[in-house]
Amino acid sequence: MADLPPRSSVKRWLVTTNHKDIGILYLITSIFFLVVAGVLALLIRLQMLESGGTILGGAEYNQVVTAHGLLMVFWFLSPFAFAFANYLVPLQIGAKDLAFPRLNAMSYWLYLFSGLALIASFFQGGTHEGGWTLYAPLNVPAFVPRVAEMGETTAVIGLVLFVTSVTLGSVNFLTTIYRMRAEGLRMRDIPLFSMSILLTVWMMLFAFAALLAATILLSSDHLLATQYFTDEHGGSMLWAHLFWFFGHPEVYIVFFPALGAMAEIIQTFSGRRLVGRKWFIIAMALVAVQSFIVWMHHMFLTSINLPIKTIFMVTTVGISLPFDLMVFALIYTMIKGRIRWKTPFLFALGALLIFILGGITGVFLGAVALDYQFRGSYWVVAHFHYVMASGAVALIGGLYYWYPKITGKMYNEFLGKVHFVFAFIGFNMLYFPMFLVWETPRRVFEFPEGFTLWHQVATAGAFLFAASFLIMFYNLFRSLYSDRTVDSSPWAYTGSAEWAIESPPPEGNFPGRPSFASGKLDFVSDPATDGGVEDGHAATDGGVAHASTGHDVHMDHASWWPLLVSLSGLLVAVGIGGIPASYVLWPFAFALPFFVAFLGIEGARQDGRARIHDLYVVLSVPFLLALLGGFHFHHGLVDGFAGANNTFYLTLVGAVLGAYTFAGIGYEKFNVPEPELTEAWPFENVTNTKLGMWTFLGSDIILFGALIGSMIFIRFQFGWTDWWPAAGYTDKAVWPGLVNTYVLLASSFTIVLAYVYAKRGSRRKTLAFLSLTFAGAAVFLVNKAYEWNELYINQGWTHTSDIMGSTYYLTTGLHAAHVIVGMLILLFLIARAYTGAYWSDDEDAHTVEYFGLYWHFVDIVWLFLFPLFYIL
Amino acid sequence: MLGSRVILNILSGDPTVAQVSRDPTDVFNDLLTAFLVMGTIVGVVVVAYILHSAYKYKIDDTPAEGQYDIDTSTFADEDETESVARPQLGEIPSGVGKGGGKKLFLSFAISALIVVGLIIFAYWNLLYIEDTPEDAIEIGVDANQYDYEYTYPSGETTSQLFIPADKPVELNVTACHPGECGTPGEGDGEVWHTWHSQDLSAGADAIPGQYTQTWVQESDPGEYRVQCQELCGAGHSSMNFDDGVVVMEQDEFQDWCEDEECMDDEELDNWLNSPAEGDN
Repeated sequence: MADLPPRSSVKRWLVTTNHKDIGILYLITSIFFLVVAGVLALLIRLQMLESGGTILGGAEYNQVVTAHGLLMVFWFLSPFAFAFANYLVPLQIGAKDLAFPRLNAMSYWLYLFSGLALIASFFQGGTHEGGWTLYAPLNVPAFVPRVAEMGETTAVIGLVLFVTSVTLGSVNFLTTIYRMRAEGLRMRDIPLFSMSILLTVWMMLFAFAALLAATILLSSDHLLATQYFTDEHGGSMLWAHLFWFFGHPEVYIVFFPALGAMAEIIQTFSGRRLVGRKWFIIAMALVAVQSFIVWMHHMFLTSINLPIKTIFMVTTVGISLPFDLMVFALIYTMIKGRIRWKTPFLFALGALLIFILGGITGVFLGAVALDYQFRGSYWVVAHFHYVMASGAVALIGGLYYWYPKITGKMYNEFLGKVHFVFAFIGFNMLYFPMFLVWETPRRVFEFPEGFTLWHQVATAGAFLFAASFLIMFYNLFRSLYSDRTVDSSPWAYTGSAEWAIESPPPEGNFPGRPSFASGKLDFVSDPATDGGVEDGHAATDGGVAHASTGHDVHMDHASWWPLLVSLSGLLVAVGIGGIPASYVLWPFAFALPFFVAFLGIEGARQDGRARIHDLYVVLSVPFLLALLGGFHFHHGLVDGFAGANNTFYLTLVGAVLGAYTFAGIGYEKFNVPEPELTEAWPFENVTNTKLGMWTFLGSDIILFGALIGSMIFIRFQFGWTDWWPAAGYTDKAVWPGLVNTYVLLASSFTIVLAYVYAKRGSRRKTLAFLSLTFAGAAVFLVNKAYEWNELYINQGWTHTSDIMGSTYYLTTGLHAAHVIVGMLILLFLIARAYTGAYWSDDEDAHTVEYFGLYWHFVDIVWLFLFPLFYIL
Repeated sequence: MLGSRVILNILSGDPTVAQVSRDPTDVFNDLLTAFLVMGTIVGVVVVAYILHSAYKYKIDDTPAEGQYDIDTSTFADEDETESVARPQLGEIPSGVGKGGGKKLFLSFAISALIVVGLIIFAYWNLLYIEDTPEDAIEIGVDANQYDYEYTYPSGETTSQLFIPADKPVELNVTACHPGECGTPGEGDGEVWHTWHSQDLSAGADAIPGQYTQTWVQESDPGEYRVQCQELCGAGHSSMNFDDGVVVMEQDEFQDWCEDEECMDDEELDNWLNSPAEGDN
């Protein structure tokens, strides 16, 4: 599995885990989604040619508006930025690849497939119709036209897949940037684009976790018929809070990479270091933090009270200040510069001008009394397009700027400038008239007659803007086959490390180990490393660098599993929307015994057959039979399977494929050596995997925090003390929860012992304590099943009975799902430990420790759930 | 359209001072004027300065022989005498050379002053708009897919909002009343709407199970547009009513209300004859 096929082979692109390949995949895919979302935008503009619409009906128009927003924000803007991030961040900080290459590939495939799922939803009766903000309760099946029920669900599940992709990406980039910088490169010294990506992924980690919580609740309302967002005690407001807690940081998530690209481009083409670089970075960090306390400015017209409105007005208007500083820094960088008006510079400058207009009009919206009037109007539409699309324009500049680096060819400068002129004029023709007719309501195609002319100008501008991209496609495609080759840096006054290596960069990125130890970039040849570089110091001042000849023999680059794991996600996503609520969990239940069997089979293939593998395969059979028995009890074996629809089987195939591929990726020997001699402040003493686990748990904290917060929010609205009595429980049994608390705490202790004995090299005790932990989890689940059975079956209190039932079963159910995932991992660990892993190698023992972190987290979550759902 | 009053005010040089009793529209126009003026000045100055700088420091960008960009070595002499930090390949970019820093903080300070000024001004106006006049009567607004229903104090309901000129009316807006939002999946319940009148500069979200308040007051009799500004389903685009609000002369309103029995006669008399509330 180690070697990559050449780039001309299709297989290469399916199995690659190389950050540059994945960057290119992101680039092409995001541009594909740009075109799809752009065509939808043109449909919107055609519809707006006259009041009352031209080509679309109400429901179709809503779908187009919704999909345009979702695709542009989620599937174009951020991934387009992350195409550059994938390609450039490792180059800029001097790393060979990202910390977790297979995870990176999985991020990409999940991203692609989640977008395809969204597009597929159009063909399942219609995609979501409630706008990209998916306001409740229009987003739940009760208010969805019956024909579009499946498509709406698919769209939501697509979003869940996308969020998963983003979370994996955030973990990966944070670990990489903190742990894998070239020697001597301090955090504060990393290039501005990498810095912007760092702050972006920090925001992503927390903001997208809130979106994950929101979409999990929404999926549950769709699939399991819980009642979160139809609940009249604040269900609508709950969605608005959850969505905007994510949604406002998202604005900066989308824009920050563009800001980083702008800073780099303006710096290079002005031939001057960014003025106030330190303050620029501090301002960005400030925005990243402050972005989490402005969200309620999207809700000024709701019933939130005056003090809160005032606070959020101040934070909102105040957040323009750090941006002012950044804009001034960019402007003053041009002073005394040696400015060349090349295409990237023009795009960066154009983006800056557009952003200033977008920023100023945004301050208007921050003033609450103005927002009362502007909310839901074209002022908002014009404002956020000026802001968001300025990000896109800046990144187009980035595309021209880094195109020679990525392809090794120079684009056609004249055509680039023509593109800029048309794009800039088209852009302003499209969006500026929207300020003039701002009284048009947003997402509406009926407007006062007097506005028609300006809407027609906007439509003309839209087509001009769209057409300008055809010039770019032609230019960039033709230039690939031109003879305008470039060496390491085609631009004067570049600074960052990606310009010190040849274009396109070789497989191993650098001709030796990059190091800033001497105060500037050198490529050092360490006798210890195995890069195969002959010469000692390759001077980089002249931009001439020596290619590394061979690739690192100890590093793996190819794996089918990321693609296959993600593919199982796609099958589930397009299938699950059509399954009735009573069937929806069964495909996943049936996948469990398959997972156990696959653990045995794959384990035997990879680690050599041992008794434990036989045991797993054998045990999976009664496990499956038991589940079939449960299914029979629920639906009747024959009738149940005969009555299940095609989407059930599609989901079943997806779930079983998931079981197979997770087992496969777990066992795959995929070696990614942690680089030595890197700058890893402030995490010198933590391994990559541990840091990755920490960051992942960080996002999981937000996920559970949001779920618990949702319950508390609704309970407050409902009346805190009326909560349980209203569900019919004046005196709810505490002891099942109490027992489970002790069981889980004990299992936390046993996993620590497993780690201790793995480090001491005791096979028997490692296995024993891993198994004890598994047993503890099993007792937890059995006890929970007993409790649920009592409540659900005997007392008839289900997750659809009332909002208490919805919050109780879903929150504790998600925790139980975490326990089950932990048990599956434990099965894997036990099989591996049986055949010699962990206890025979000191380094390897840490795997048990990392799992232990996860397991402790699951316990700690329970310590919050127990009082909240049993005692209070 | 186009906040036309704002533009007329600017053109005539008429100071938009607070009147003794201001309609929400006046408040909005005052604020919009202030923000538009400030925003335009800042925007024009900054954009002009950017374009000026980008042009002033533009150099001849003819590429060096066989290259795509200038040859930096031709500036070697200049580089020795000046203090500007030029990026160098493979550098650690700490230290920015001289220049720019003071200007940066000066500009930042100025923008901070502007922003703080705007916040204070906006806050002052917010307090006014949030303070519903005491003599306002309350009318309920129920937003449905896809129309509005207005409930007068007597319980009388109408499909248009009839109000007297120069009298404040508080709107209590919802989509479905608490306890009436029904069981999901059974066809009842309601989605999130907004009741919004650009003409009267007032709006409030209509949220299922909750009440949201706003108030309107208008001195010119006539018909005013109302529309939904939150996506609410397939019929959202046509959820607009050119004559959604009808402002009547006070005696005309009195006749209408007595005919429709929209509120208690005595209450109506008291309300219409009470003196206008002073500026607060």
